[in-house]
Amino acid sequence: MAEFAVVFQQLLNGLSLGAMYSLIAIGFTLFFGVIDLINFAHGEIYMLGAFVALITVSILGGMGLIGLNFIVVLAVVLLVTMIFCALVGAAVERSVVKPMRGAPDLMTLLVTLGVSIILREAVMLFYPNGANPQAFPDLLPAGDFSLGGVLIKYEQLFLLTVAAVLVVFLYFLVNKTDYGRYMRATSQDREAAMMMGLDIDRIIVLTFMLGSALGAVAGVLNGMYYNIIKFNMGFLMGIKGFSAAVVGGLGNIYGAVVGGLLLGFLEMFAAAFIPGGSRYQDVIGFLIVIFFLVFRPSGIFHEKVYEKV
Amino acid sequence: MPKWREWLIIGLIMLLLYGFILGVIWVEDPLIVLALLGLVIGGVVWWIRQYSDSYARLFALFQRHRRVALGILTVLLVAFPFLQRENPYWIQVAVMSGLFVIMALGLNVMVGNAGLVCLGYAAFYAIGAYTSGLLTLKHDVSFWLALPLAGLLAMAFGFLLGLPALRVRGHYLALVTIAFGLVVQQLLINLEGLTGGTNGVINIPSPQIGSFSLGRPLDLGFITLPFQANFYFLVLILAGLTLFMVYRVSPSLVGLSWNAIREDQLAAQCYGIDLTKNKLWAFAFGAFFGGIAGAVYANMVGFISPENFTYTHSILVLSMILLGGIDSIPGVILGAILLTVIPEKFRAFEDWRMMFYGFIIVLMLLFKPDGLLPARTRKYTSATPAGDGSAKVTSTGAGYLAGQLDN
Repeated sequence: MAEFAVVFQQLLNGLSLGAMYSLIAIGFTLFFGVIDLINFAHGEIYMLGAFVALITVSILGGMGLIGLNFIVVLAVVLLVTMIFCALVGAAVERSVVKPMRGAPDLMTLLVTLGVSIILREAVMLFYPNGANPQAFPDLLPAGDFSLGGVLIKYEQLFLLTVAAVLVVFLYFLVNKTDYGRYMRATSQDREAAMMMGLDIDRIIVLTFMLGSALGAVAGVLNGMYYNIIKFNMGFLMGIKGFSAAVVGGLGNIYGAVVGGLLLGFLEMFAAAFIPGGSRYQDVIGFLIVIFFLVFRPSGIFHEKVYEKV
Repeated sequence: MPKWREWLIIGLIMLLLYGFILGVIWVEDPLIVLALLGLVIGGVVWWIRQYSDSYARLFALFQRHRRVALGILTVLLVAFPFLQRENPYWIQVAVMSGLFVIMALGLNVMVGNAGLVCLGYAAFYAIGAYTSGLLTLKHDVSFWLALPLAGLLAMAFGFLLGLPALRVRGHYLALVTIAFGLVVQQLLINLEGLTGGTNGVINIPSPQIGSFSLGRPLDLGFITLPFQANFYFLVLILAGLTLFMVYRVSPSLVGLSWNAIREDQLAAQCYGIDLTKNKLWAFAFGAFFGGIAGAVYANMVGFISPENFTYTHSILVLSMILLGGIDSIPGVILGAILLTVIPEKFRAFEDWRMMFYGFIIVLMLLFKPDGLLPARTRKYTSATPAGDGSAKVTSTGAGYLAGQLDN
């Protein structure tokens, strides 16, 4: 039994990590869907999410409101963070992505790369003592319980719940609302959607806001899970999120979720069960991605891609 | 105009530029430096745009007297350590600019010529540095043998990185190259037995010529130059060779094929251009120079660690290309020099460096995507003198090479 407990423990840890990857991957996949763009600044939005949450918590603390019910505090923190990061996402889209529309792929890719550097450095330079890791407060009552030898922390439970709720919310948004319909139309054929009278610019900016808000939540969850955040944490996470989106199949929302979970599992298992694996945890993730790119570039959720001529 | 007057004009212009660069080094106040640079660069860019015909005339002048211009340039460059011998720090900066020129030209082969995004170029730099550093330190290999070996090993890794590039492109390729850079970085940290882990490699010996070590001051009898001057001359020669090679390749059939792949891969393929061969060569050829630069760096500084070869360095080289002008060889050189020298003037704002690079990338792409010295349209003329109805082919790309193909 003990063996099983170890495996399940790693499964749970992988699920927690994977859920965060998934939330970021959804952003990548949404942007790619509507505008064929990889937003390198997305990892930085995730990092900003964690920092905005930290600032919100300290402001709440300053107002003496932190003693409130922790659910209220969490709701406020998440809401503020999501709104703020959605606005940053919209600003990124309007300031650099929109002017570059129609430019070669390479250019739009590099411009978001530039933005990612600026955002990251801004936090390092302007956040007090921003070059050093920051402690992230416990927003949940600390605690855990054991289920058949598997240790489950409240934080993990919360993380998984939030991620699941957001994915369900996204499902309804995309499939059952007008906005979701417009978005799907845009991602299928932007020009046709435009000719049907859709305001493409608005849909794109809304998509950026949606994706950024989800990425920001991942940042907050990461802060709560590891209790430490740093200005440069967005880079690696952004690359992982992008990788997860690729593994799942860029442009496919469910693919992003599955890809994120898969990447999380594989990394955790590699770290736990391969001798010396923890040192190569990141490398293993990347090798998987390269493998996928070379042998199945369209991801798990295979859609035949025809080259436009 | 008689020949000697044309030569005089060329000489005066080059002296003016040279004096300007020395002046920038000499001025202490970073704000004045920034104002000067802004004024001159802005002025030149404005002039090129506004009076493109006189710019073209000047260009043609330099092209007609390429040998003379090259000769004057060589004299001026060789004179630099003599003029700055009280100032070894600036000779060192010049050496670093030279190394970055080599790397930027190498990366330009991938990104500029062939349009293959590479965001992991620092990996080749690292491979070169560790190859040469470890060979000279632990296996008593002469630097002069380790140098080409470092280049060749980097080239082999370039090939390796090129393999996935055959299947993926655009965004996906960017991801693969970032992953490649990070994997190399992780290996440098984790293969402790070989690379010394995070502690790096120390006491890498200086290159030797006979019994003379490049790490010692150069005594010419009448004058003594600081030891940095040795590396300055070494890098000058290597940068010259690099320049020669990329100048030769980019207007060749291979260079044209790269440009064709960059513009439209599918169309290039339809015209019978071998994608496999050309892409692999673009990666290998570009990587070679990264390896060379790394080897020189390792044996000059004597100490390397994984921190010298991060993602940041890849981005730095990339912003040099974007600043100067993608696929424009003079542009890339200008970008590399500017981005090495300017931050040295702003030592007080060390922390702001990355922010500065970020802004350069964004602002250049938004407002001047072809860079400060854009690549010119290249003209191919047949062997017969122009004007007799011979075929003329034009293509975008590194076009100032026109004269080179006339003979």
